[in-house]
Amino acid sequence: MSCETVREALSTASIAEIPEILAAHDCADCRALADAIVAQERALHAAVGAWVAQGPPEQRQVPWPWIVLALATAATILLILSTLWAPAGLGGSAESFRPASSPPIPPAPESGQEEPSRTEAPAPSPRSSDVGTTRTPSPSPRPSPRPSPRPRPVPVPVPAPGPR
Amino acid sequence: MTTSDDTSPEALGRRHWAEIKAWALYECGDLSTADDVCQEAWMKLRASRTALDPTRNPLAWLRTVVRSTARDLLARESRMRRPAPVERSTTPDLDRVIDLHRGAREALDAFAALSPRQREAVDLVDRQGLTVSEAADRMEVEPGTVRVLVHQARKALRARLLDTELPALVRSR
Repeated sequence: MSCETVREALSTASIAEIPEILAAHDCADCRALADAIVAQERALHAAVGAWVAQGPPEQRQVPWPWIVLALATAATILLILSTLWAPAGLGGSAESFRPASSPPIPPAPESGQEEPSRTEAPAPSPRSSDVGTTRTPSPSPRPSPRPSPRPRPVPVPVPAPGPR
Repeated sequence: MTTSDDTSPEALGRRHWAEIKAWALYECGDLSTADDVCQEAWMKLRASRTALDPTRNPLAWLRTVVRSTARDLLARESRMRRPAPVERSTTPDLDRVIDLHRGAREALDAFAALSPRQREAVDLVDRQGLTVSEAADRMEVEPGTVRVLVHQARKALRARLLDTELPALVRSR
């Protein structure tokens, strides 16, 4: 069998038939060619087979139980925190949550007595004449009545210049 | 009509996923486009809410879905020529698939150059190991037709190695 005939047979034979074709033909080139054909078709079939064997796209499961559990836990924590830190006017009592080491809250002043202002008055800004002088701030803010506003200077009418 | 697990299109697609992939590959030729076809066909199957008609052949219906999806996609792609396809896969054995593709790149290119019927015939006979008459039953053609298709396909796949001209049938595509 000539090389030409073998190549013609190799072009259309199935892989299983190739050893039979080569059995009666002792040619290194034809044998290498047959090996290349077999290797190529095996690679093709392996690639196609591996691709076909991939399963369908997995359905992504939403973990609803875990989401519900996490939401419930977060809601519980928020509820507890809001109960602990609620201001007195909104149902909570400042007295009930006061630490034991803190001094007792003084009783509310009687009616008619002026309640001292709890808000600290802003420190007066230093004037230009005070720059350089040291002023010791008072150790504790004095509850003082709000100072009366300084009277505004009354504008003095300027006489119109007359002819000389 | 509501779907039950066994008769829903999604369940059918899950059972016959390998066939869906093979049909998509026969229609498209290259793995990347066939992947897109499979994804679109899968979305269609999942979106389909009606149960299958038991009097009809479900596999024939499934194949029609895949074929129409492939033709739609190929028509869309021919309208807007996209750049070279990127190898994609969603499975964990991605490296293995890529290695196989690299080794079989030229063979896959030659496979993509075949006609859909040649691809199907050579895949059924050479890869899946069906006899010619079994492949003819699957393809609903005469056994002689399968023989011719396989002959042409092998000749085209080995043309580069044998350093011969591509068969006219393949070249004219």
